[in-house]
Amino acid sequence: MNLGSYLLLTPGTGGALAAGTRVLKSSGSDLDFGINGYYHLELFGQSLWLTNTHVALIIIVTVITVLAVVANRILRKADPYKRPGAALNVIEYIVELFDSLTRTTMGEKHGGAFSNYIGTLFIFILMSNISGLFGLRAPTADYGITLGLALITFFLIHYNGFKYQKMRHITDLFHPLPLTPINIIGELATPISMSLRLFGNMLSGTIIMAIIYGLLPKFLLWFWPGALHIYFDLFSGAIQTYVFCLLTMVFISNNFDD
Amino acid sequence: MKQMVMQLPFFAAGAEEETLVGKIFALDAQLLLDAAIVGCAILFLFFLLSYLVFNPARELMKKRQDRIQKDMDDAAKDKEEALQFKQEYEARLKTADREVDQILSDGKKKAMKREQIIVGEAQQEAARILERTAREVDLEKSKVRDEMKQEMVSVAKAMAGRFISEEMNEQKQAELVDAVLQEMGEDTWRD
Repeated sequence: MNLGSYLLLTPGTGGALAAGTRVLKSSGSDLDFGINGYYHLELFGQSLWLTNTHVALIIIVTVITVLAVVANRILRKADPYKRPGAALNVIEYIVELFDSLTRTTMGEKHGGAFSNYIGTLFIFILMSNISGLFGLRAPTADYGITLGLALITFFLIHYNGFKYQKMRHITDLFHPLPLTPINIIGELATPISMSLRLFGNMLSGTIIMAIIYGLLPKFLLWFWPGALHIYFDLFSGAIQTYVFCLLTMVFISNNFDD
Repeated sequence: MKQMVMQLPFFAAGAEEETLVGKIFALDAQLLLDAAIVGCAILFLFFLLSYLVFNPARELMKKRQDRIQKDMDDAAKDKEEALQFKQEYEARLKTADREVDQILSDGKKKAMKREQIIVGEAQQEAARILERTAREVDLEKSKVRDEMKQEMVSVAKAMAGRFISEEMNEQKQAELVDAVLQEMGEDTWRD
């Protein structure tokens, strides 16, 4: 895919923009912000691919694993009765942050039980969102990834619904009776809206950054995209991470009795 | 233009069977595979981070928290005890003069009592010694008296023997007595 094909999407202006890019000596003659397949396989009659999303996912999981092992070594060597070092302080701060976040949002009684999961989710999504800074295509810009995350949340919502509300979790859908379809659609919309929100935000950032890289002349690429990376990857990535985790906590805690 | 639009990746328009290039969104089997993969990744990371980071960090913080709590409790307890001791010693200091006088008074009383006991014992001992000495003197007197009697008897026997062997007159008798007395000497009577 080349830059020209995107610019021609806007009828009437495409020609001028395309011409402009040539004047600016664009560096992006070959823009690539989509999902590319590296290895093809057939499974149950379906055509499946090992994509750049999976590669990025493997890299991110590996990085998190390495960081976890390093953190574990620091924790094992730490003496609880001596002054903690900088690394230990950071680890304890992160763990306390998740504990505090879950307890504040989900309540003192149930919050602690979800701290590990929310912490895992937060770290994974944040690492995925900022992976664009390191040249990877953010896995969260792939709908398959965000849908998977939202489906886990959907499962947790209804698992805890049945656990704490028993059959009332189902019967409440029929109150009031005329609004039953809306209630059901509302429940089903939760994972779709959550996944599309994260996917849309990250994809838009990815596309905008790709276009910016394609439009800008080479000498501007040294400093100008940095500011945009701060916004699209760091700021937007962190905000969307927080939003996804917060919604997960809120939706789950709605099922608690107290 | 038509050719370019056909290459657009939206809704899998560009995802062909042989190649997958530039796909952005598609509701297909690949979506389910991606969702399943990310589910496994999250599950793996959840157990990994819980086991390696979250739980050990909480244990560490709990240990430190318990230690700090214990130190604080101990400090509060020590402070309370120190306050009690302080009050107690302050009260003692206030009554120290009285206690000193009392101790001195008690000491004097004890000393006096002891003195009386010692003096009494000494007097009793002296009385016993005097009594024993007097007894010994009496014994010595009676012993000397007996010896003197025996001596007088023996002198009388000697004189009687002389009287019997010689004819006696008054002058002669006096000379005999003086002679006997001179034989006996003065030492005999002194002892």
